[in-house]
Amino acid sequence: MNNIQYLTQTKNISAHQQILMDWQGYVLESTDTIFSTHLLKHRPSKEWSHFLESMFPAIQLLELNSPEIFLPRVSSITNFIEGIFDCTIMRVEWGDNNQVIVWNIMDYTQDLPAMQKAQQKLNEMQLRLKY
Amino acid sequence: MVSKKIILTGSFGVGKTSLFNRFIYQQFSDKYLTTIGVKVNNKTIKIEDETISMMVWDIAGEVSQDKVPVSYFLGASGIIYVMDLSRPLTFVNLESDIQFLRELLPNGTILIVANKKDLVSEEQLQTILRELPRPFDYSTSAKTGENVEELFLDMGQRLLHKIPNE
Repeated sequence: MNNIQYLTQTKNISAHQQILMDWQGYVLESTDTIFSTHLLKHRPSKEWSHFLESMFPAIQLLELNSPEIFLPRVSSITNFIEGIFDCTIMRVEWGDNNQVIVWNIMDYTQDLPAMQKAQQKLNEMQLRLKY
Repeated sequence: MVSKKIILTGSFGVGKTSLFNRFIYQQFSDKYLTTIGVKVNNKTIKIEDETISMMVWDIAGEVSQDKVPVSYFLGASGIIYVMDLSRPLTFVNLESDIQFLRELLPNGTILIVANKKDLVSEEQLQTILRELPRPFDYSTSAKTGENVEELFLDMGQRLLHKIPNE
C-alpha cells in the first residue's frame, strides 16, 4: 500500500487537491478542491507558499517516477490557509516529454480539534510526570 | 535573496513553538498548546549586505528524534535542537539525537539550544552544562526574548558563510 492509498483508506479526508507544477514552481493545472489557484497561476509558488519554497531544493533532486515525498500533518501549506494536511510530492512525465511536479494535498482539518485535544492531554500528562 | 530552511526540533514542551513565535511574531504566551505536525513560516533577516529568507519549520515534539518523519528534514540547511533547562528528561537523548540529526544532515548546521533560561538560576545553569554530554550553543528564554534573535542571526550567519559545526 503506498502513502496515498494509506491516506485515503484510513483517514477522514474532507477534500483532496491535486496540483501540477512546472520546474519553476508555476501552477499548470489544479483541481482547486481545497483552494483556488486561479489568481496564483502567474506567480511562482514560492511567493504564496513558504512550505513549497522550503521544499524546492529537495523537489529539484527528485528523479522521474521515484517514490513520492510524503509530508504528514502540515498545518500551513500556503501562506493563506491554516489547517492540517498530508502532502505528497512527486515528479512524473506529463504530455510529450514533459516532466512536472505533482503535489497532492489531503485535507483532514476537521479532525484537528480531536487530534489536538488527545495530544495535548497526553503531553500534559507526561509533563506532570517530571515531578 | 537567499532562502534557507531551518528545522526547530526536540522533545515536546521544550518551547519550540514559543521560540518560533518569538522570532517570527515577537510574541510569547505562557499557555502550553501542543503542535500537531509541522508549521512553516518565514522571516527575512539581513546579514551584512545579504538578505536571507529564513523558512522555519516548527515540528511537533518527539521524545526521540527517530520518531520525527525524515521527510521533514529534506532540503533543510540548519537544525535547531531545543531542550528545556527546567526539565532534565529533555537532555536524556541529547547525544543520540544529535548523532541521528547529524546523519540526516551531514553538511548542515546544527545548533543546540537550552531554552527556558528564565526558570533556572545561573548556578543551576552551570551545573547542567557540566553534566551534559556536549555543551549547548545557546541558552535562551522565549519568554523574555533573551538570545532568541541572536540564535537565529547566528544560524543565518553560519549558513551564509557555510561555517561548519565545531
